[in-house]
Amino acid sequence: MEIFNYFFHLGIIFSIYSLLVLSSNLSLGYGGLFNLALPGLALIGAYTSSLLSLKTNLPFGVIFVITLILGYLVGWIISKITNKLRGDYLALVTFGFTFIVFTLALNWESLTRGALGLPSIPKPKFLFFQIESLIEIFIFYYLITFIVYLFLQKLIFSPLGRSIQALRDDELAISVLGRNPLRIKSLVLGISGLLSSLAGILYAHYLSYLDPYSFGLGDLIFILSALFLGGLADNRGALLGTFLLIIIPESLRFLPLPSYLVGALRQIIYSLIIIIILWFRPKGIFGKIDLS
Amino acid sequence: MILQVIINSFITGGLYALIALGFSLLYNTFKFIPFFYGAFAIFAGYFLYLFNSINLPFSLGIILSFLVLIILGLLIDFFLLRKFRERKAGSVIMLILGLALGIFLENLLLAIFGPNIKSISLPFENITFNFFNSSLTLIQLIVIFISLSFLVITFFSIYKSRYGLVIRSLISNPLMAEILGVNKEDIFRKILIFTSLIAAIGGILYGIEYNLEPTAGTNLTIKAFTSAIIGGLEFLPGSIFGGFLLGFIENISVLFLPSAFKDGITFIILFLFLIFKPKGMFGKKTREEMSG
Repeated sequence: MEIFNYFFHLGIIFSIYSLLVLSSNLSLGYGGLFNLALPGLALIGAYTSSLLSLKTNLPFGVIFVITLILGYLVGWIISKITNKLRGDYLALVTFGFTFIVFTLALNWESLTRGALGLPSIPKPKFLFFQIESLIEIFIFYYLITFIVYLFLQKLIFSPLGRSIQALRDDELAISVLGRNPLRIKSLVLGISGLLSSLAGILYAHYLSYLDPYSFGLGDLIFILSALFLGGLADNRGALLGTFLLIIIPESLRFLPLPSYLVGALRQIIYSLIIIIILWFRPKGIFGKIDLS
Repeated sequence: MILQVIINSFITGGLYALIALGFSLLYNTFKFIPFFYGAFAIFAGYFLYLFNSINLPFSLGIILSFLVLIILGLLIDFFLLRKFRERKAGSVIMLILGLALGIFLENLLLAIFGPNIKSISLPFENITFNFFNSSLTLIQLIVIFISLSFLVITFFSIYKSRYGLVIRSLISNPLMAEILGVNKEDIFRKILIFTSLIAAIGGILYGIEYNLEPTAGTNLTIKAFTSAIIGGLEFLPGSIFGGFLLGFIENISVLFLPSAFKDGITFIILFLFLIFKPKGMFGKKTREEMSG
C-alpha cells in the first residue's frame, strides 16, 4: 500500500503545480505578460485560507470562495499598478511582489508564526462531505484541475481568448478594434492570481502545514521550465511539461543522497532544462509562439 | 550611535555600490538584466575559501580566485551569452536565461559546498578600533577602502579615458558605435573581464565580512539590482549612489524596526521605485516611454 500512497502523493503534487503552470501559461504564454508574482499569490492564497480555517469558524466552502476572490483582486491590483509597464519591468515588479509577500509571511510573526509555520491546517470540507483520505483528496483535486483546464480551454478559444492572445501579438490591434487592452490585461492577471491562490489553498490543506518557504524562487524556476519544456501557449504541453518535471527528478529521491543535495540537484535540472530549451527551441516542445 | 550607523552604512553601502556598478555595467552593455551576477560574485568567495583550505598562501589564493572568476565569466559568455547575442534574443528570453543561470550557479554552490555557513580565515589578526562609542574592525576598514577606491577608479576610467568613451558610445548607441569602427565583441569581452573582476572583489569582501552561504548570491543580486534601480539602471554613477543610499537606509531601519525586516526594506524600496520611478532618481524619462 505504501507505494500506492506514494503515487497518490505525486499525483496530488502534480495537480497543484499544474494549476500554477496553467496560470503562468495564461499570463505569459497567451497574454505575453511576464508575471513572476505567482509564488507570491500562491502564498497569499495559502495563508489566507489556512488562517481563516484556523482562526474562524467559517465553513470551508466560504473560506474557499473568499480566498479565490482575494486572489483575483490582488492580481487585478497588480495589473492596475503596472498598467503602463511591459516586458522587463512588469517581470521585475512582479518578482519584487513575490519577495515582499515572502518577507511579510516570514516576519509578521504574530499572524503567520514566521518560520515556525502553521501546523494542523484542517483538510477540505464541503457542506457535510469531509475530504480526508489520500484517495478522496486525489479525486477532489483532479476534479478541480480538470475543471480549471476545461475553463481555460473554453476561455482561450472564445472571442475574449483571441483578444488575450492579441495582447501578446499586437496590442495596437486590440485598441483599433474597440477593445481596451488594459481591461483585458487586468482580467488575465486577475484570473492568473485566482488560479495561483487556488494552488496555494490546495497545497496548504493537503499538507496541513504551511511556512513562508512553501512557495518561492524555486517554484518560479519549476513553473518556467515546465512551461518551456511543454510549450508556451499550449495547455496540454504545459501539463505534460509539469508531469515530466515532477517525475524525472523523483528518481533522485531513491539515491542515497542528503536532502539538501536532492534539492540542489532538482533546481540544477530545472535550470539546465530552461537553458537548453532556450538554446535549441525557445518555443518549447509543443509551443506555438516565439517570445523573441 | 549615529556615527556607528554611518560607519556601517559605508561598509554595506560600499559593497552594494561595487556589486551594483558591475551589475549595471553588464546591464548597459549586454542589454539584459544579469540576475546571475550575485551568485557569480559569491563564487569568488567560495574559491578563496577552497584555496585557503588547501593551504595556499592567502595572497596567492586571492589572485587565483580573481583569475578563476574571470575565466568563468569568459566561459559563460563564450558558450552561452554570445549565442543569444548573435541570435538577437528578446528581452524576456534574456531575463529568463539570467534567472535560470543564477539559480544554476547558486545550486551548484549548494551541491558542492553544502548548506553550512563557511567563513574565510584571515592570515592576520582582525584588530578592532574603538572611538566615540563606535567600533570598526580592520577588515571593515579594508572593505571601505577597497570599495571606495575601486569605485573611483571605475568612475574615472569610464568618464575620463578614451576607452571609457568607447564603452559609453556602445551603451548609448550600439549601432552607431559599430559603424564608426568599434569592435563590439572585443569590448564585450573586456567589459566581461572587468565586471568579473569587480564581482570577484565584491564576492571576496562580502565573504570575509558576512561569511559565505550558497543563498548569499540571490541576496546580493537583489541588493545590486535595487541599488541600480534607485540610481537608474541606465545611469552608471547612479548605481553607486543607489548602493550607498540602500546601505544607509538598511542600517537606519535597524534602529526603528526589528532586524529581520532589514531585507524586507530592500524589497519595499525596490517595489516602490519600480512602480513610481522606474527610471530611478536621476532618470528623465517618464513611465509612458517604458511601455510597449
